[in-house]
Amino acid sequence: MNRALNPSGRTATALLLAAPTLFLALFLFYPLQGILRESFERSGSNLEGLRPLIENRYYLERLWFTTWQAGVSTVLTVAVALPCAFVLSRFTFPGKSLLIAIATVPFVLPTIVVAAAFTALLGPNGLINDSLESILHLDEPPIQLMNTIWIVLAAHVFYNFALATRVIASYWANLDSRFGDAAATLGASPLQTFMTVTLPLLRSPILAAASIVFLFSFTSFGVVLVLGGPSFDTLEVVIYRETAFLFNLPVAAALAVVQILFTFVVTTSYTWAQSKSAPGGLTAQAARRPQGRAWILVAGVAVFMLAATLAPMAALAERSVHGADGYTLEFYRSLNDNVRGQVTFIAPATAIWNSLKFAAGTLVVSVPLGVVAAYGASRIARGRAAVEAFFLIPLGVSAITLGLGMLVTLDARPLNLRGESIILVIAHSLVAFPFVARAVAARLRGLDPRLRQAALTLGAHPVRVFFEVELPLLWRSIIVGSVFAFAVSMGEFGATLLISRAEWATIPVAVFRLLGQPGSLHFGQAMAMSTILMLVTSAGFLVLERMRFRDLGTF
Amino acid sequence: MSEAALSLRDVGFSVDGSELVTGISFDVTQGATTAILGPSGCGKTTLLRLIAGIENPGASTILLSGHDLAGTPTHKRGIGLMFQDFALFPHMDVAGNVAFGLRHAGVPKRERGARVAAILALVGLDGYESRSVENLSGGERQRVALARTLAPNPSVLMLDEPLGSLDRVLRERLLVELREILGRLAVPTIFVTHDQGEAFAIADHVVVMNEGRIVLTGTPQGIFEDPRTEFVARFLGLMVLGGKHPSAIGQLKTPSDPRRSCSCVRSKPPSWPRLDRKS
Repeated sequence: MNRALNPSGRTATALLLAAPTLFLALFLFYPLQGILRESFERSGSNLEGLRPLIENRYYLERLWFTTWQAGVSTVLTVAVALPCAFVLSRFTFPGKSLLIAIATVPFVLPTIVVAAAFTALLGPNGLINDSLESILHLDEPPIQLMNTIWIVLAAHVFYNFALATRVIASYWANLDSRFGDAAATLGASPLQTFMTVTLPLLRSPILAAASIVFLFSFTSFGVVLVLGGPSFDTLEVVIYRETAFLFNLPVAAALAVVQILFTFVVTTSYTWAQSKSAPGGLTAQAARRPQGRAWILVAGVAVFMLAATLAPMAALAERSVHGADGYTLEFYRSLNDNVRGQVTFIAPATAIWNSLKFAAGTLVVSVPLGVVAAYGASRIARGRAAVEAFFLIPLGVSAITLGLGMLVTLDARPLNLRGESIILVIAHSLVAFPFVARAVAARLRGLDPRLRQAALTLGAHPVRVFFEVELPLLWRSIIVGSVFAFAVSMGEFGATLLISRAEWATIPVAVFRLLGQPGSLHFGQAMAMSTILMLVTSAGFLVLERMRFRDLGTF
Repeated sequence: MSEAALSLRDVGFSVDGSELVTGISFDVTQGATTAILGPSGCGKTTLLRLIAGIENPGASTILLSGHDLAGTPTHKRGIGLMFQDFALFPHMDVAGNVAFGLRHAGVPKRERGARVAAILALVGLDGYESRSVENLSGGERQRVALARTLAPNPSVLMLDEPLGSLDRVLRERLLVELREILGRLAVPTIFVTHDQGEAFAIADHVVVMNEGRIVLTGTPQGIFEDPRTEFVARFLGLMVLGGKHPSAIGQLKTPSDPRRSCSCVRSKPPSWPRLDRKS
């Protein structure tokens, strides 16, 4: 490490870090400060505008609902993840890495795709209801899960369980199995061993997984908006409605402040648990092939993981080609039609084109920013981890909060961007560039600093050292970050819905509008666009997963 | 008398208040090999990094052919450093590694190929140009690293434990070859090692370091005959006879490092728990 940079080196580092810091300051901290100002200053001299918050039970109820549904989602997710993590960390079996890759796909799917997939599977016109109706000759859908809490919880578990499984399993795989063996020799039954030895040892990774699942469920937006209907609004949805329909900015901003406080507490506990659950210093255990009855467990878990992952996705794909008279491609073909009075205001194909344009713009902004942030941080001797954590802050801010902040601050000169489509590129980049920075920072940490020093002693100028030695060794991590950035931009829903003008509608926004409309053409088009988005994001992820297998280490 | 190729004047370096090297002064004469000998962690590698400009030595003076190097960035110093474990660029083949310095010295492409071939022949790796550096043996990597360092004609060559990671048989063979190459090129060289055998075999001058300071300088012969201090004698593996070493014990000076003398003084012997025989 460069312990003592010469003055010019320090200046260079400061310049490198200035760009991403300025970006965060202008487009994250300034908007967040705007939310604070909006909620306190603009609400009248004696905070008149905020009175409904306390007087109207509605808001307290929403906060309570948001919290408990996140809590239940978390408990269910961890309960599902534990047996999966056990099987994945203790056994080897054919197709294991493929199973892991497939089971992780839901986590990288955009929320709107998850919502559309559950609609396709369990909705009134969904695959299951449709099949049951035709088999049992019923007149109305027998399964009425739409707009209930159950479908919201199921979607949250679907979305998060692979992440929880990965976090817990990577720790569990490194846990010394001799602790369990010792307990057994001391007379503990397998269940007692699990409850008294294994579970306490897994506390940190379970807490880390639970915190992140709670955070995602607490700030869940797309899933709740589409599947939950009007009666199950989370705080995130309430903020959206107050802003977009009621124009009650002080109340929306005050709720955003509550939300920020909550997410801050949860993020802090996640970071703390995460640092405790780094699988260092533990003895790696060789996973074994299952013997005897263990096969039943392994097969059961594998079948469950595959079914739970693939059923909604397969239903989505099936619905996208299922017309009134059998299978058809009419929904895909009709994407190009600009029907008069179209609910999306633009042809769905235009939304696809918009998504691609914004994603390209996001790459242009977020990849250089992310690389520069990670590279600058790597040149700091003390506080490197803190600087890296600083650049991850956008990930802890909910999409609606972000969008609201931009709406209330970026509407006056010199930053009057509300009418410019670049504001969407900025919003997407804000969420995307931490992914690039994180991927590159991880690679930089593993890079031998002496390679750079050797190049310098051979007479290469520092700038050329970067381009000829460091960049070629970083390109893989940059690609990983770029694919994430692209997927984040393609799937971003909350902030886009809040900020976007009608003519900028992206795929997620168009899907949302189509799902809200009656008629089989709208439904089919929504399914078709969601399928396209699902294929794009999951293909990108599976390519990455192949590329990264060696770097991921044991699972 | 010719001017020294490299002069160090009171070079020091500290990190977070702890001194890694202190008061280092010595000259490297033209065409000669100077060995820096000392136990692990004595500051040898830090010294090389200071000379190369990778670390910033603050107020110290380092002169290259009489010119003060302060303010000259690493890539403009023209001092070759062969890293311990070599730090070969994994994304380039052997030729790419060796040509790297030539490219940055502005040597035209046509000339580079010939120079790379010549330098590879010198280190005994003819025809290795397009090999991947990942698949080389330890000895081959060492030779590629030496070739890469030598290629841009450094005005001073610094080798950091160049044989450290090799097995004994290979080490002895390469030591002979290395001495031959250094003798042929007549480039002033600093050879850092913790192995007195290597140092005495290859060096014209030896600088013995301990805890960031120079404890003795001289020719291999002179140091061997008169190690002066008990530390040097012990480090060379000489027998020290009950504190009455042939070199006058009155000249013995322990390293004047206040931290050590403080931490080493124990007011009473440590009390180890004793086994109670009754239990």
